[in-house]
Amino acid sequence: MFLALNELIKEKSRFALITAVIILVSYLVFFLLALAYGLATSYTKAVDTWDADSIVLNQNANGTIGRSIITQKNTSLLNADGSATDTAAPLGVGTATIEKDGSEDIALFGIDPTSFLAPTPIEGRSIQNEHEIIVSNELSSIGIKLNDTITLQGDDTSYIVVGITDNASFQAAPVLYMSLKDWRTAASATSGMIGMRDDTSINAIVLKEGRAVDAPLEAQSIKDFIYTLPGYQAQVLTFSLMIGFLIGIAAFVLAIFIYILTLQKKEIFGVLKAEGVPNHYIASSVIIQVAILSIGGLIIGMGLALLTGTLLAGKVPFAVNPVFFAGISFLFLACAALGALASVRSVTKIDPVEAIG
Amino acid sequence: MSKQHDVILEMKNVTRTFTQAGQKINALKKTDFTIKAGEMVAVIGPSGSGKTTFLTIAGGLQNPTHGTVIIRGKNITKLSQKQLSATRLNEVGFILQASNLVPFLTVEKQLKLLDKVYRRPTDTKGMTTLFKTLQIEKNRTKYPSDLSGGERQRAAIAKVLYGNSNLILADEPTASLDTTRAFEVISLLAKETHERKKATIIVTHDERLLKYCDAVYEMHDGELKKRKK
Repeated sequence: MFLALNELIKEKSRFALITAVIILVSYLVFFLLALAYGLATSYTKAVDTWDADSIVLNQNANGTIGRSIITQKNTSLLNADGSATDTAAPLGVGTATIEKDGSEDIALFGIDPTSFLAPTPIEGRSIQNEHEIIVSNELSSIGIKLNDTITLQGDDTSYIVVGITDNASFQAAPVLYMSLKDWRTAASATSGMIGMRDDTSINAIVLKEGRAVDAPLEAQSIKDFIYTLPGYQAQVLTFSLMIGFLIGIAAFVLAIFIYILTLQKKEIFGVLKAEGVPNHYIASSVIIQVAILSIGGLIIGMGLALLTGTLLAGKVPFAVNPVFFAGISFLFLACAALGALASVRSVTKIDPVEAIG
Repeated sequence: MSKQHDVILEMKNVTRTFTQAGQKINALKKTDFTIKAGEMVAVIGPSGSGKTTFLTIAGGLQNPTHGTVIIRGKNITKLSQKQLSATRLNEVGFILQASNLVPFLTVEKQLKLLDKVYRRPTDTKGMTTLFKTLQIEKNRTKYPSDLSGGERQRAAIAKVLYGNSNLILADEPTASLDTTRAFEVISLLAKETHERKKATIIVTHDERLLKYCDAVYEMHDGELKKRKK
């Protein structure tokens, strides 16, 4: 500790440069991690609230919910009138554009308001009548609030906001919940929606418990469903690769810096060893320096990333998962420790006779 | 100090050979050497004559091929590397040509480093006395790069004396100093050796310094001989 700290104090500028590199890289890593997590959850936040086991789609839809059409003729999973049971709920999905102070693309969810897919409002109440909707609180950014009357582009029907739900989003778009009957009207009226085969058409059936289904339907787990959402897997993989490479590069850069610094001090370490200073004392100095630089850099980088996320709140999908942050920090420190071991090994190999001779 | 430990270093039948390019080289021929507490001796000889090999064996940095090296009654030739390291820490102090100060520690902290390694409290009073004796009191918060050559060597002496080493091994300690500074450093070393009952071996090329030594040894082709007064 004594050697490590005194060298840090004496060689401030040199170590400040190394720390700056670690801060910048860890800042980038944590910011990207929060963005990746934020974006990934914005794809699935609404799905996560279902707490469901699996989802049933038409097998000809190739796993894409927007292309899946299920009619009452195809299934006996629901009640005879097409309403939800305790463990199976119908779902219609589409996209639309909502307008208030500004316009925003949204995900339209047609649901049975009595089913387990119905959101729990944080403000207002649940859907009870026709033309009543519940919207994600993310839509407050364009001025939508409780009891507002809104319309969708391409649909003349007016809808009343009776409830606000918390951060509901699907494929990065805020969710608007309406009854299946209203959804069929909206889906027919707005562009980009599925065609209605009959007045029992829905896109999917969400199951609380896994169950075998017959053709032309097929069931897949919610996890698989999320992975097959267009762009989700590519986006998660891209971010993961970027973050992984950044951690590797940062740890490698830190290891090289420390290794070079150790080599530069080879002569003085040799003299210390000649004087009888044990290997472990010198090696611990190297390890402490790596620990101070990497932990210090990580904490500052993380702080900057959190600050940036706070400043950009609402503008970017920034979300912090403490487990991921802790995991990435541990991975980074483990890589730095591995790099430090190379320096420690070089310390133990220094021949004190060379320093004297 | 017991009579037994009047002898600080004893080398008996010590040889050191090594092979280079398939050729056996006798770096140190059969050597017997003894130095007592309060003595300062010089080893002189041309470059490559074996002076440094002698010094590194005496300091426990390398083992002899044959023979025994005894420091204050302890045979160090059979010790493990860890035990040798501990013996050097407790018994041996080095003063090197380019000074052996850690560049990122102030003069004061060079000495405190020993306290940290020994895990003992700092003897602030003893340290101050030492700085005053060696006339480097004003330099105690300076880094080695801010000191002159003479000041650096005096700081190196302070480090060795503070470490309480009984055996001081100095390899060309005045090589980087002008004549005045060289005399100053050697006379100081001689004074401290005598007063503090240390045993000091100086390897040097400079014959002018020999008058400060109690005995002079000459090294030629690995053979150590005492020069007659």
